[in-house]
Amino acid sequence: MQSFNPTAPARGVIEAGLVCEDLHRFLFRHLAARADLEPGSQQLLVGGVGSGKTTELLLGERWLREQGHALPLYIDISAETDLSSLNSGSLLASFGVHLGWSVLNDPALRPLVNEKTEKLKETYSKVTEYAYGKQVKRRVDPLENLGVVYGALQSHFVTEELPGKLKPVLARDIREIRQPLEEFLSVAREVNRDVVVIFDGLDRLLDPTKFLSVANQDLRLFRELKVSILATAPLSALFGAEVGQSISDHFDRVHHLSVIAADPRNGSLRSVLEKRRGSELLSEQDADSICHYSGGVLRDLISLARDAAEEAYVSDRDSITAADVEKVVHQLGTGYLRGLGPEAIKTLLNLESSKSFQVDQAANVELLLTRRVLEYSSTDFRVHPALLSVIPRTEPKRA
Amino acid sequence: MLDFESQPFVEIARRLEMRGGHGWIAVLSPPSSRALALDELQTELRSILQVPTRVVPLDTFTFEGLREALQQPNDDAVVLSAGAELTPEKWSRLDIMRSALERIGPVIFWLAPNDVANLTGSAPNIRSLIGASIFIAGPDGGIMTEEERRERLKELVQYFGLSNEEIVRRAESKELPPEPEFVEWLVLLGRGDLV
Amino acid sequence: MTLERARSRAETLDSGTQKEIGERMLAPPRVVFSEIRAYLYRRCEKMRTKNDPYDLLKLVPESNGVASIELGPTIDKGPTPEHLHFESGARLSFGLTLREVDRGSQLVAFRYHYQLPAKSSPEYLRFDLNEGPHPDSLVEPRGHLHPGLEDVRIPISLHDPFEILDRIFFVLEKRT
Repeated sequence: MQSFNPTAPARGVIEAGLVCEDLHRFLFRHLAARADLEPGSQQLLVGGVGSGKTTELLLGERWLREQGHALPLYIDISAETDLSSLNSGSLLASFGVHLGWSVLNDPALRPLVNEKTEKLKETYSKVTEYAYGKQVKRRVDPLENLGVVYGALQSHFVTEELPGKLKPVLARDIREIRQPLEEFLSVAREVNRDVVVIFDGLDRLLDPTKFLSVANQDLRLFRELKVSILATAPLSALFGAEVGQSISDHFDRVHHLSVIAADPRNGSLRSVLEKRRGSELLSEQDADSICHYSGGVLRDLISLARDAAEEAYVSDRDSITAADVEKVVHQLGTGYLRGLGPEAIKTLLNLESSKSFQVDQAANVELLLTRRVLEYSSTDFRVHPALLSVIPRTEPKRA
Repeated sequence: MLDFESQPFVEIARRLEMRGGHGWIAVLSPPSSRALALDELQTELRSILQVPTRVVPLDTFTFEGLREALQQPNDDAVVLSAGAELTPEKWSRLDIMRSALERIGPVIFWLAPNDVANLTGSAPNIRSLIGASIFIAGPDGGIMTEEERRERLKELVQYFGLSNEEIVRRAESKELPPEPEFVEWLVLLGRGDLV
Repeated sequence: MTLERARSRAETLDSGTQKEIGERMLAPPRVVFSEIRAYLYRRCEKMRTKNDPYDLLKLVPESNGVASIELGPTIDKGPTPEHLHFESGARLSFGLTLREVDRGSQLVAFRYHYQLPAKSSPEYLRFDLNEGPHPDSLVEPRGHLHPGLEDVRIPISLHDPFEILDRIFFVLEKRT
């Protein structure tokens, strides 16, 4: 059952050999190859929550390392800084820290680093200051305190904290970081290693306005530095308002990681279960049922399988039954149902019956972002099957 | 209205144990005696998982503070306590920092009964990790029922040939033997004051 | 070596037990209940016989600050589904009474009745802690072991609830 852990870090899952690398037709190779061949290129990977974006990016990172031409840096920016108050320079700051660390510790670069150790350490120091801020002692002249009665008549020092980019408060000049980055990049390039940075976590910024306002300036410098970027973005970058369209316009390529349909002819979802030895837990029928009710959302697929096994175990049974599957599907569906008002339910029922879904409406984009509606292509939208199984119907369901 | 499954805390802890002591679960607190229920949840988590358990309130979190709280240490059990004061905007901020919350030890969201709407609507990334693991805090099956209590009393009356009233009378006049069976008898009668 | 001296020593032993009870602080009754249940759950997982500690172990909640934790019948009159059954054929029933004190609890009394498999000698072992001293501490020490005989009580030192379970699961059961 341990192989069915939806919260397991993707890196560990890949290393354990539990991932179907061809699930999205080796998209990661296309992403990585373009990033490698076109230094300075910028690609977006857009997908819904639980669609497998992180896995695809990490596979790309691994592929780049194996090829040996590039220095890939995977950064989950959402783990490093508070994205909700992201400001310009943050992406560069994080990149700088990771780049500096990699260059200073990469065995292939050791001879070069050894020649300029002190200089590079100083550069790294500048980068970390830019990222995390620093404490400075500032001399205070007593004349500054006119109007306030102090006992001291002599100047004195105060310690002030200058904030950094990753503890964001003020916007600072992005150009400050350029030169340190160029120094590290030049070391990597001396051994013919172009740098590819993979920014994960930006898809958490469900509001695309924020994404654009921050990424804009940073992305420009990355391009000037000829550093390729692979980044995640939320579905609102593809669907919905104009701002989403602006985001796509800034990137050379936008790849959509769509939901995988539970098509018995296709068998992709079944292969995900098989890779984790799902046949040891599930009958054919129950596996098909779980594939169907996951809607093709990979994380839901894994967690339904795990939860069904857990139900069986808790009930002291040796194998999963259809009742276990039904119970966990009901749980998942109930979670999706909570908070939906009558209008939203009407929209979903309408989608189910007439296949009609206006994706440019803000309320509908929200249904996509919260996975009540799943996108199988840019025109194929369906209600999440687990939600469909519990949604209240005021009229009898049409045959 | 459709509802989630009710599970006693011991079963919730067992589920986390089955998952190797990892994973994310949401527990919907009872409408009253929330603090007591939270205490009981912590007790079961500690007993079953054999790791320390902490409660981290979410009402006034900051990115740095919450990240540090969850990562240092990162292998104990953490209960993130959310109440009605957690607005959709705060849920959204929490969702954005989901990666910073990921850890080795289990994460248990302690939610007000009607908070699932906020979770699903404003924190889809967190909800995705929780999946179908949303449970209503259920009664602990370990508390002896009234019927079980009556059966035991009947057994004691039959075995010793003494009525419940006689036991109480003897306890009041300090004539009751000190054997453990008689102590339990008094507790079953709700007369712990005579012990 | 007179009877009076023997009684005096027995009373001293009982006083020592009383003192130890006062000094030994356990967790609150509900926490002890949870911990015993988790302990039994772990042990039962390793056993081939099917026992469900969640069904078997019961808490009689606090009445004037005194609570009891019970498993199986109060008096062992033969095997029942409420007993904890071992692979060896032995069975266990026990009761433990605790008094809430400050933020924890103290032992009031316990009984752990371990019925050995059929045709064993002795037939059973029962670890008892009485609620108070008996008028004749020599005959009935406060903490004692019945080695298969109701009228024989061998004094035992005070034990934590888990220590007795440890001896049953890891010593007695391994031996049978």
